[in-house]
Amino acid sequence: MTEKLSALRTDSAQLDIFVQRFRSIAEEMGYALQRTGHTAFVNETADLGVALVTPEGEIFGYPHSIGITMFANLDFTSMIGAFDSYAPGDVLICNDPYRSAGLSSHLPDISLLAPIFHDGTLVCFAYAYVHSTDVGGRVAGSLSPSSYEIYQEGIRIPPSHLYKAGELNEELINLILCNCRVPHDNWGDLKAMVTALRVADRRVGECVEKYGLAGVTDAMGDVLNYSEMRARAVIAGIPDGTYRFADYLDDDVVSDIPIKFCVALTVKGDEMEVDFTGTDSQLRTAFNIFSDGQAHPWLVYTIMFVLLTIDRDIPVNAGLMRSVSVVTQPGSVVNCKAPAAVGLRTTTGVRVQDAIRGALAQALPREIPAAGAGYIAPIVFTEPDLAKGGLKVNVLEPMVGGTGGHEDGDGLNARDVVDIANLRNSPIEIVESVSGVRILKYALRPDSGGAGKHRGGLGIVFEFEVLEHDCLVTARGQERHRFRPWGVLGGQCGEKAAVYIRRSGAAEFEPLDKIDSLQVDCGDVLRVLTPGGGGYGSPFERDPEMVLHDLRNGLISEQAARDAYGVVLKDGAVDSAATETLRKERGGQGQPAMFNFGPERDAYEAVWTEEAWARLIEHVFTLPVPLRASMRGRLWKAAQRLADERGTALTAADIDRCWTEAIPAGIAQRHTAQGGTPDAADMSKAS
Amino acid sequence: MSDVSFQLGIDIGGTFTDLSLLALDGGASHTHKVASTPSAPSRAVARGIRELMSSVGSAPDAISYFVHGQTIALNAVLERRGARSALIVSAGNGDILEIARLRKKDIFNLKASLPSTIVARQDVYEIPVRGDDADASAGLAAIDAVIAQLAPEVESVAICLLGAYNSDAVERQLAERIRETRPDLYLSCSSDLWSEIREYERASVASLNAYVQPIMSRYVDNLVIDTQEVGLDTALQITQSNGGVLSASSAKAKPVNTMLSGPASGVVAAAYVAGLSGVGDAVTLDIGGTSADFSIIRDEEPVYSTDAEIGDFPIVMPTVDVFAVGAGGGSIAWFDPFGILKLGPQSAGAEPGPACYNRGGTEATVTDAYLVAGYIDAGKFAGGSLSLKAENAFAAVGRIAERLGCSAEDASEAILRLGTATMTSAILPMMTKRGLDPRDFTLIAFGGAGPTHACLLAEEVGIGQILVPPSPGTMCALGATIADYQYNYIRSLRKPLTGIDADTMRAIYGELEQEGRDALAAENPMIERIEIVRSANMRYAGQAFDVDVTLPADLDIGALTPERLAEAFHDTYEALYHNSERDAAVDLVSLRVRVFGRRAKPSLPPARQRDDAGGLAAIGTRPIYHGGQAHEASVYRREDFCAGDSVAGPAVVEQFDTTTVVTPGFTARCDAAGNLLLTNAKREKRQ
Repeated sequence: MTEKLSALRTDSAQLDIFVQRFRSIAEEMGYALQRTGHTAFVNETADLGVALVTPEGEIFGYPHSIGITMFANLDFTSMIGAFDSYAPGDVLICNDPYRSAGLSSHLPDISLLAPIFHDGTLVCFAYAYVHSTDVGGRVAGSLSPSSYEIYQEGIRIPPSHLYKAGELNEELINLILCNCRVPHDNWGDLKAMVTALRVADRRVGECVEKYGLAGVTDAMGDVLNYSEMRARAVIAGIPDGTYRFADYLDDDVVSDIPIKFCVALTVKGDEMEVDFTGTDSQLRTAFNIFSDGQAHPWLVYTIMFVLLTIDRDIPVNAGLMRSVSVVTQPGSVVNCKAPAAVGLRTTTGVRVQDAIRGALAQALPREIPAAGAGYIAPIVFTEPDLAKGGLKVNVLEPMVGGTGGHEDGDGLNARDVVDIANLRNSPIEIVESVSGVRILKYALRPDSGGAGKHRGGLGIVFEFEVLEHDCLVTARGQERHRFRPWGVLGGQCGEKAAVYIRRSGAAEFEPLDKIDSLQVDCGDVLRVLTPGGGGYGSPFERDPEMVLHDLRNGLISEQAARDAYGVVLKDGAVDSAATETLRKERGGQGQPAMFNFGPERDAYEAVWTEEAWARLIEHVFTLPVPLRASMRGRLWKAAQRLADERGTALTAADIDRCWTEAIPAGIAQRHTAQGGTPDAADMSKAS
Repeated sequence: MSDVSFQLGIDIGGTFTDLSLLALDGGASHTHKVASTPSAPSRAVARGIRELMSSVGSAPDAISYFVHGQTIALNAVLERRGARSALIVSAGNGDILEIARLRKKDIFNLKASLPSTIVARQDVYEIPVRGDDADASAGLAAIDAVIAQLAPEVESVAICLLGAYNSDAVERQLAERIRETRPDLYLSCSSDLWSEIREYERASVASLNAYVQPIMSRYVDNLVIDTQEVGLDTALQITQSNGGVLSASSAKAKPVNTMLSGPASGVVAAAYVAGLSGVGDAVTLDIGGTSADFSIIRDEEPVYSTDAEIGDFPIVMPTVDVFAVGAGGGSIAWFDPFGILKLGPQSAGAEPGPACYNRGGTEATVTDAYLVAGYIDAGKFAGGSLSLKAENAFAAVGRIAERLGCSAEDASEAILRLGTATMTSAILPMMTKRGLDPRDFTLIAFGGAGPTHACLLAEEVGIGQILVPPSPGTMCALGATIADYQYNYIRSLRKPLTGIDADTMRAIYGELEQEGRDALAAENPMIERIEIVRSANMRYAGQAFDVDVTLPADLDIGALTPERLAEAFHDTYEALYHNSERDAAVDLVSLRVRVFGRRAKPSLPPARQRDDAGGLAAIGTRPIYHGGQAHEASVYRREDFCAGDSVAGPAVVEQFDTTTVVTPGFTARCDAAGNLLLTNAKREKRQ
């Protein structure tokens, strides 16, 4: 460590000054952007990002208090390399993941990048992005789970000059705005981003004047090296080894087939490698992530959060993640090839993090919580606009669930995933003033938190009545309707998500599947339940007084107190002797399993064994990328049919048999005979 | 002397209770400090009054006006020592305090906890009525059962119904019914406290109020008894977070309005004294033991914020906008595991305090660095009441120097640079967030160390002028003495500006204004005149960030039209962001009225006129360290300054409650008002 420290060129009494100044400049950019931005994404949920970037393409100044918090290791090399030279006054624009190595991870995220010069020398770049309300494509808002090509998701902007040496590229901007449904808002957001870039230009200029060009350049490198050193020190404290875990998305909305994410996380010394081999192939829906094979934030952001949970003091910049690498298969759902649709990468990214945390929990059981709800879904309500004609579209509430219990305490109620975006909800009074609904209930969901020594946080019950005719509800990102958030070390699973509807005039609620696009009418009542977090540790170890406290406060039911926690109550107080007896009686022998996945996943994996799944993936990946999604479907269904008929677990041999039987001979033989994976990279380049 | 009547301001801090006494004829001002008595704060007040009046040679009954700033309510919340309260809400909304706005502040921490709520979930009751229902009977039918269920320990009840921003009728009827049955309960209605749309924020305000009402009532009653016992014979006034005052009886009913009054009063005083020197726009800097507090003054009035927080609870009523940064005199310098020097946020506080306090503290703090750098004199700290031990400071800072490989003086500068960087990194984003540039402002420095650090900060952020008031240590007490009565009112509308007619708008303004006039009449205060300030929050349709547009004081309310309002909005927006769009649609979010009961401002004694020929003389010299070298600074006594006296840096000006450091490049001049104005020859104020 000491030889590395001596490699820092900045005085050890000065380094923290630069750390603070760089972060502060980025925060200023964020506030400038937020104050002047137009779309709701900027103002309500702060789905925006800003940063200072080295000429080599790494973020060295990143805000804490505003915007998306998870993008600190975005890689700018591809975007910067798109042009040979830069001039003062240039501003680049881009939103195409495939032309920016995933800098923008879906099309609504429009990125701007501007070089900052001092006396003719390039010092660094300033970056800003905003999630635009709409960038065209087949649906309003541009994002739909069922999109299967990026062309359906809006206009693609390759790295281009929005300004060249200070001059606006009017033809380009006209072309872009011509392809968007809310051009006025988009233009407002672009101007706000340019304002933010100018703030950076001025402040970096002041730093150079004060500390000299060399001083600032050295400091840029040093704050990165410093974060890297501190992150490596944390990783070095994690026991070496390879930790395996897998998690699922319920399905891909066009079939019932679960999407599987496999992680083999290897800690070796002060480095970490996440191998996603075995993960599903890319899909013909919008759940893909274009990572370009790099440790893209959407693949690994939770590792940053883990490192910062252990050492709160590491400056947040790209250095933090330098020691983390990934292995991905091209054409997989975590490294898709053009023209795969990527609009819903958040849903996928959130589950990928669950998989990584499951792996890390085995190495760091005291630091990693049980699974959180892993669910983030905005309830979008479309109704006829009676005043202006046309349609009115509003987000009612962003739906989230509980976080997992952990070594130090219970999970948080309704706070899972909100941390990646500084997310806030909307007041009911405002929702009702703009949308034709009446909110009947927006409350915690009792008994949804996984029981445990440290209970999982509770999910939400959201219930509303439709007050207008001919309305439409969508809720992209609904998840964990099938597989529950897992518990650890004896903790139980969180309750899974659910949706119910009571049609106008009906007496009872009836269950619904996940909402894709639901027609509703005046008088209908929709009830959305989000998952609770998983529990941590055996519920029989939970302090009975805490159980009583939860019961009194309505967080758990009396039945749960007795059945899940083994607490016997008498006259409103804990009956200690009876509780002890009951807990002893019911307590199992020996150590509990590391994970509790719940009956649904256990049943699924009783059929779809690790071996069977691995063989399926092996076969599918012998095919050219464009064929994988459909052949995966055929193979899976054939094998599932076989398992259903036979009633036993699937083996690798079963999968081989199904492969030969279900896949057209020409396809199977041609590609298997060639022996291995065709290089899909060529195909994506050619697109 | 006994004919003169006085105004008394008292501010209770954690360590000291400050008193500020102004003779109404402008002849004299006196300040006094006594040790606080946290267990029974009113006793220190009584003692202070007795001591101060006897030193002035007057009886306490010569005090004709008595204002008090307190932290009782605030501390009760921070330390969770408030009353057990119940909260009554509309059906389906019982988890309003738990769900809050979803936000998780401690974003990078996977094991974060949320602050404990102030109303337990079991004390929240849902009733089947909304605040804007035409008929309250469903609620009234349910309320008796709720009252019967209340736990015997519950002392106060808050009511926050959905829709109550539209009408206070239902909440009021419920409160009346509760009062009939249980006259012993304290009551807080959301629509009475602050009737803005956004139910969580209203519930938070009402719950905070309920939580502290009993404790505040008992405190005020005791204070009245204790001060009457020492002979005080005047009605008690209490300072508010908005910088104004209100009567003791109003403070008992609405203590939530007083929670952030301490720092607010300091800003009120700063605005006032700066105005005497013709300074209208300023940033205030108040450095105490644990933090540096900043606020903004425009046109001689404090800037208000509507998103203040107490702990994690939002305070949406207009509050003097004060933001605290963790860099105070007690902030500790330390090395991280890699040998990087850092400062704070850990503070040595008052106990054990900085190393030089010689009370057992051994770690180097900012105060120790001031001492080593020659900025303060060990024998004259806090008027000599606390003798500092310079050896301790040198030993502590020396240990830092040893690791840095430099002299103790250089190390002290390194520590101070970090303090400056922490402040700069906080203040620049906060200014940008508010659309302001600090270079357009004067820095008003007060508090124990504000004037000591002011030049360092001004140099860093490019501020060209600093103002140090005559008594920088007792600004809060002064602010309390001179504050006006102030009441704020709001009506939420959230409509297109075109959808509201001029008559309705005028009628709303009229109603809000009348509420204020009625409140003022009920307080029966000594005021000179009533001033009404009207404003409107507006935004471009589609934006979520709104702008508070103050209407010109001379605007004839009879001539107010939506078009006139739109024009005012475009003008304000243009001034802030330079990109107004005159033809874009505008939304009217809310109408606001501030009602001031302006009091005759006491005149502060002006600076002495020099009557000797000799001019200002230094009492000695001492080296101060700045910019890596020692400068021989002349040392002056503040009380020796007469109007027009001027000294060039390097210089030190010592006074009872602080030391002003004039670094090389700055010149300090005493103006007619007695303020010390420090100007930087290189950087004159821009405007």
